[in-house]
Amino acid sequence: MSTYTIDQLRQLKNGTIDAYSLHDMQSHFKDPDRFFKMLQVWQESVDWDDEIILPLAEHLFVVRKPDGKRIIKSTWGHEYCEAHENWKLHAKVFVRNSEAQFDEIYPRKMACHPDWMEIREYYDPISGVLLEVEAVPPGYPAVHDFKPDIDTFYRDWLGQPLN
Amino acid sequence: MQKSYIMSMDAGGTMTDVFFVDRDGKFVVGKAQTTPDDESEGFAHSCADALKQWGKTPEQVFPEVITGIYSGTSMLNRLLERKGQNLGVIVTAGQEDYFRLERGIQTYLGYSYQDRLKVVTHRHNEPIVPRSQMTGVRGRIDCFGNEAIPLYENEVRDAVRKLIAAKVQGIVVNLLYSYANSAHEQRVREIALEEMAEAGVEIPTYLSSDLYPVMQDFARLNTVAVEAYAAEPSRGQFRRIADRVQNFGGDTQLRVMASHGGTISIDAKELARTLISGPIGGMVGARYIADKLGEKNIVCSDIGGTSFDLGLITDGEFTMKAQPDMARFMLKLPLIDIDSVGSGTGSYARVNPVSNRIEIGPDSAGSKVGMCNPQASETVPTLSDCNVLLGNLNPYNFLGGDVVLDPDAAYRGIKEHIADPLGLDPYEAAEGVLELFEDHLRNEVFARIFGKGYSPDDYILYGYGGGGPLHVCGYTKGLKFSDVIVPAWAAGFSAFGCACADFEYRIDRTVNAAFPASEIDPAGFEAAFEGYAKPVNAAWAELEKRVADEFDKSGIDSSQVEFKHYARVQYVGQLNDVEVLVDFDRVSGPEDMQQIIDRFEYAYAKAYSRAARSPELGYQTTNVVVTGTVPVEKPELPVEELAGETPPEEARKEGRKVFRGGQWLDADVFDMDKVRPGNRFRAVTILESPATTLVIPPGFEAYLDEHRLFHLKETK
Amino acid sequence: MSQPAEQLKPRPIGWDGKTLKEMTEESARLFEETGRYYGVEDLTLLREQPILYEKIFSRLRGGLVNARSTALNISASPIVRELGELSFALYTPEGDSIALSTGIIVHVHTMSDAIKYMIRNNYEEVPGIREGYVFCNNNSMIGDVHTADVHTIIPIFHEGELLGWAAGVTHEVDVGGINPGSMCYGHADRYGDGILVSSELVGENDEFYEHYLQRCRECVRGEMYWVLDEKTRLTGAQMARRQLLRTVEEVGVDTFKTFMREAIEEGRRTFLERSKLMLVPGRYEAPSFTDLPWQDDVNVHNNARKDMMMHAPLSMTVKGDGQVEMSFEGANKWDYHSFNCAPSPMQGAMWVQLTQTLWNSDKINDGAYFATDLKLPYGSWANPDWEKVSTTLTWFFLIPGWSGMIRSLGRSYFARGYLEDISASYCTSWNLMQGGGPNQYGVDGAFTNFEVSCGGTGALYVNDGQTACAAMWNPEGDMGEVESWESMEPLLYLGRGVKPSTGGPGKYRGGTGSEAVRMLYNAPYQTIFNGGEGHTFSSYGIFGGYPGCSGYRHNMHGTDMRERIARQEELPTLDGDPEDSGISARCNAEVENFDMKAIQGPKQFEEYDVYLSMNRGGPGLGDPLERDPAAVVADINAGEVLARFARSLYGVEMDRGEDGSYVLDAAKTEQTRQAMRQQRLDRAEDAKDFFDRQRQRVLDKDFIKPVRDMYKSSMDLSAEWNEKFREFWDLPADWSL
Repeated sequence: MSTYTIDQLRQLKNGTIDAYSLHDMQSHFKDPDRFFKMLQVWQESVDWDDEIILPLAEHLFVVRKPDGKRIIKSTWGHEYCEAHENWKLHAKVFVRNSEAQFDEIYPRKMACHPDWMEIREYYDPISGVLLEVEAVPPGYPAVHDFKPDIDTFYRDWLGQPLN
Repeated sequence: MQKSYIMSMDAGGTMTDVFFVDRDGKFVVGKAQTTPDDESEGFAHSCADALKQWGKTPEQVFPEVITGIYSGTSMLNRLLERKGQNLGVIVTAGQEDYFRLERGIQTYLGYSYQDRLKVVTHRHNEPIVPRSQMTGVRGRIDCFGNEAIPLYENEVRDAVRKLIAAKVQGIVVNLLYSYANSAHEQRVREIALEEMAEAGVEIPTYLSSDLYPVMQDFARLNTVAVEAYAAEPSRGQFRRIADRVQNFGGDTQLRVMASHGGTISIDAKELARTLISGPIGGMVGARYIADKLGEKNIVCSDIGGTSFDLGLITDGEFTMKAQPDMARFMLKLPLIDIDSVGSGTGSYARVNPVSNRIEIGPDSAGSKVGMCNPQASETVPTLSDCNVLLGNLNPYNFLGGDVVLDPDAAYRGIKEHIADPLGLDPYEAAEGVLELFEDHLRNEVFARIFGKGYSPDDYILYGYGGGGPLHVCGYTKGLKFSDVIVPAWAAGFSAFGCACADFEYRIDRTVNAAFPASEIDPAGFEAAFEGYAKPVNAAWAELEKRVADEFDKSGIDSSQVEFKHYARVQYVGQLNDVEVLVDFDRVSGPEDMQQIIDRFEYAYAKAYSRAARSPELGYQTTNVVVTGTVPVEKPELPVEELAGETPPEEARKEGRKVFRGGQWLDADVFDMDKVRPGNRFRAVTILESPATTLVIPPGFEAYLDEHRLFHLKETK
Repeated sequence: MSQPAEQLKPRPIGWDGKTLKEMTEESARLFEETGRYYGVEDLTLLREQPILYEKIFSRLRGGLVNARSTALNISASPIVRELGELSFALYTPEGDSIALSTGIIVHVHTMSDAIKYMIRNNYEEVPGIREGYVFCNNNSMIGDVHTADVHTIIPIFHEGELLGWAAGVTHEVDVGGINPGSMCYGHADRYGDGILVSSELVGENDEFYEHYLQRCRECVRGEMYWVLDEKTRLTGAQMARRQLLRTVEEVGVDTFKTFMREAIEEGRRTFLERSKLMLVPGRYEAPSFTDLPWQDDVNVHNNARKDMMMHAPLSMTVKGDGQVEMSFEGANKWDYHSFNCAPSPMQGAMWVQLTQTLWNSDKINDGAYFATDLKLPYGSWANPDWEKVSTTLTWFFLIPGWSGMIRSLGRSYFARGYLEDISASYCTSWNLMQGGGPNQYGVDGAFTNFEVSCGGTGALYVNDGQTACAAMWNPEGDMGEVESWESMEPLLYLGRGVKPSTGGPGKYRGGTGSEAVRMLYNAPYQTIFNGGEGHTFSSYGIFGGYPGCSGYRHNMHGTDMRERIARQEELPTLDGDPEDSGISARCNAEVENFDMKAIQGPKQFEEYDVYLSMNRGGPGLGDPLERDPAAVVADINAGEVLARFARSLYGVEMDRGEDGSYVLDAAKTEQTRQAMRQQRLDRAEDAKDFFDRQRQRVLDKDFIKPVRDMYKSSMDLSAEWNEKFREFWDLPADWSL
């Protein structure tokens, strides 16, 4: 049964893991204790103390506040909204919808056409780090990437309900 | 009578084995650490180690050595470690990214099936030539060998100058369709020579049309590049070893085992084919013995620590792969068709925690043996652990007792990782795992023979290698082979095989000439003669000359060479050709074409179902082949006088219990080297030698013949 | 002696005297009632005889794999032979797969659908299902991906009882469509798709009817390929059958029957366990889109001559019991093009993605089908309500349509901590170069170039994607060799190489795509297609990574290549940066098609005309400003990324070294990146404000026609999506498109 040390998982997170270990991790049976070990790794990677209960996306975590509320919070401490909501609606956004703006990223003709599609860039309000990119036609509702069912997960899958 | 010896060596990654055999087939094997920087040191030590068993020194023996064969992994390691020559490459303009794009297949060659499906594991290889030294020149030959775009000579000059400035040690030239028309490549060489003269440097150039004139530009480039990158530097190693041989007073020419099953001189033009020689020795040895005993169809099976290698000899001939892969490169080399079809004795056995199903391999502890090895720190049980636990392996006999294995560790591992999850008793679990393993091998063996259109009773199976004898009964059970043979020297069988190899060159060339089926279009068939015979005969003539030139380097006159002529044939448009040996050296009339048809149809119909015959498409000769062989001294098969059926007492070792069919049985144990020809062995018997163990389980019996070959028979 | 009356109605061939129909209905009922395959509760065989269970499985699978590797050699088609577009599988009497070979896994369930169709339509009575019968199918509305994929299906009998089925599939070089190429398009409906074989009885006594083969020869181009592939599939299926029967002999028929059902139920349970191990329950959204700019394309049928946009609102729901539901609720309507998908290929696509990700195993079988759920709105492009739609290039919508699945799984892996398996998804498999005409051998030929099986792969969480490596439909992608392609296609490769700035930017970059510049040679003319997205991105990045590039068209008609060659002037090798095109600079033409219309109907090319085929790069992962600056410089020096993007995209500052290569200015880079993050915030706005403004645009219906049509179609077809759209934008009741 595979199992990995916190340090190996830290290397995985930081992208410093060597190619062979990575390939092994990808090929071998999955280690069932991974979730809680990674929570540790994530927790130690942030400066704030709220308890991470679910990593939601790069730089975004569902944390449990002292009052029990489940909040989506960024690496830099910005608190967006509750876990079931779409954090994007509480972020900063910049929308590229002209060829000139696409030219900063793609060679001309190798990007979408602004009439057909726009690029929405969602930033963390504190750090200005780019958290998600949406490429959708104008007028498309914001995509809700991931709405976790945290209670079922903890209660039925991990066998330890969150009170 | 005058003694004479044959020497063969195998310089592996860690150990260098040297094998001496005398006229009577008596042999010794020596071992020493491999010395990568100068392999001749390890070679010398290994020689001394071997010969001291005869109470002799190299100086005493080498003057009587008539043949010396090298096989080794140094070339392969140089390639794997990317420690080859600094090369420049000239390709058709626009193709400079060959080694960056590779072919998708090279991102998962050698992977397990799971990983082949799992894209996140796929990785491109590190190029053996930096992109900055990949240069392109305009000019095109089309698929018919006609010039579509003339060569832009100014671009050739620029390219050569650039590579000279980059101080490359060799220039590889691989232009599209050069096998069909080499004019552009030839011209590139001329210009290169001019430019080098200009710059006052001498850099060897390697033309693909010169070295490997076969279709498929990328695999061809791989092969020529590997030749220049990894093979060329090996000549130095070979020469140093040859020098040692001379210093020991030997006057024999050192030859190298090559992928086509023959040995070639260390001065040969195409050395890259010696890259792959490991598993071939055994097959050459098996064919040699079979030939001596008048056997035609042989299955060769070799179980090592990591894999089960399987190869077929049919009608006395190997099957040849024209495009094998090695070290994650697609290559254009003739390679004896050997498949790694299963796990080895070091393969891990686990229970998948999700499905609760047993999985064997694909990964392996290899030389670390398993959890029973106190010197390794393995955490997952292996097949060897199962064998130790069940008494098949003697913990005190491993590598002749150098390592004492720990059955209790094996027990704990199997209990925790396999038995408990499955709710089985550890011994039953271990037996089950081995059954599963042997059953899988059994199916593979059957499938290979079946795929050739034969059935096992047409074949004799040879089992050798460290693990072969241990499992051979298991993977042959019920298949009704006409005989199952284990050489008493199973562990040293590859080395023996190398010593049995002919001095043989083989050169392939693409021709792509076709004619319609005589049965469908008689007129067209007749009419096609001229157009077919011309290119084929010309190619054969050219290849004969090249083979002769190679022998010439060893001072052998072509009159001594036995030439064989082959055509690789397929239905027009089909992509899988079949190698056909013909009994003429020139196509001199339609009747010769008819022979090619008949022999192709015979082989094809056997390999694929009748339904697949498609004569209406006509017959295309893709490649022609010439092999040249000169007879060389080979080991005699040992012939010893027969003793009685009962093994001598001095051969008997302490008996032990083995677990079979759910119960513990008493097994007689003998020393494999001490039992006598004529002896019979009934179940359960175990024969041990330092490097291998032969198990004769219930339902089998064995007989040791005068050649020290064990014959295994099912009793019920 | 049987009575005449009995002879009229043949004895049922199912188990225990049942008909196949009865068996299938029973199976469905038991699954309905118990939620388990065939109601199997206890996996007795697996539990009590795990070794035997494994033996049986490895026999069957070994047989399939060997059948494939042997049969492979019969085919003439490079698509089958070198690209492995061939696979075999074994099925229960009801048509549920037990085990499958390597190869195009997308088909495991499509062949299952074809078998179930035969059972539903009572083939047991007419034409009858007997030992030695051979059935063929390539009808995707019955069970297939598209016309080019052809099935051979044979029943396996044991003592008069149907024990199961063996089936094989290959991809054909040409299917006799209205235009050459295996997946032609531009016609309006099925009538242009080519030869159609609908689960038809095409042979007996283990041989094809000659009249069937003759019909095929007369209907398709490159008939040799078709006929040899028929032989390939039949030979392989027969080998698989033989292996199954050998196994039955050894283990006994009853044990074998038990195994078949347990194997599928075990597969179902294993899938649920895997999903519970690696996923997080919840709902995941990942829509995708593709453009069809056919307004001005005179080469397509009138009904299709308009700009269109495909909408694939994929949502994945992982339920409490581990069940995975994929829904395309909201997908827009099918249309008069060839990119419509039947449910069967949609199912197949899910399979092929599962085996590369969540269920990465050689033990996959229809158990996965019973553990997953696929919602395909009736009437949409993913489940057309008119059976005469064209489906020759189903893949054109299917590939982008499923790209969200990989990202959704990636989000789950991220939450579970399995970072090593995260991928930003695959790239689309374009440009698809296919066509045909009188070729260099003077015969009428057809070709499909499968270089598309080597696109750039998606960025991983810990690594860049791979250059030219794989395709979503074939993880074992392979570009083949130039000399192989040129011996089939009358077009010279002027070049084939890495295409810069195709990989999606990000902290980790998508794998780079490739391109080939081809020149028609040694043939008077050819009909050639361009196929790929151009005005949209069709596969997107994750965690701040951008999509991989979209494509463009760059073809030259009526060129001066012949003269240039004669004068030894520069010739194009690659196109490179379209803003500094290698083709435009080195080739003059009467007509230069250089635009974003990457998918167009069949177009005629003449000798010395030049055609660009560019393959896409994979999507990126993470914020580009978090990319290791050294990696950016290395990319630029290696030609993976164009130099001008170093600052604008990655905030990397460089100087030129004496040898002309770039070197990093680390300090300056840090300042630039700081400034860029600040600049981002300065020019960004609160999402709420943006969506309020965007709402006005929606109220004004201020979109180009294809976008407006897409919204209208999705809302008309799906009340659910209609509701969702109105709710998000808070639209007044009277608002409509």
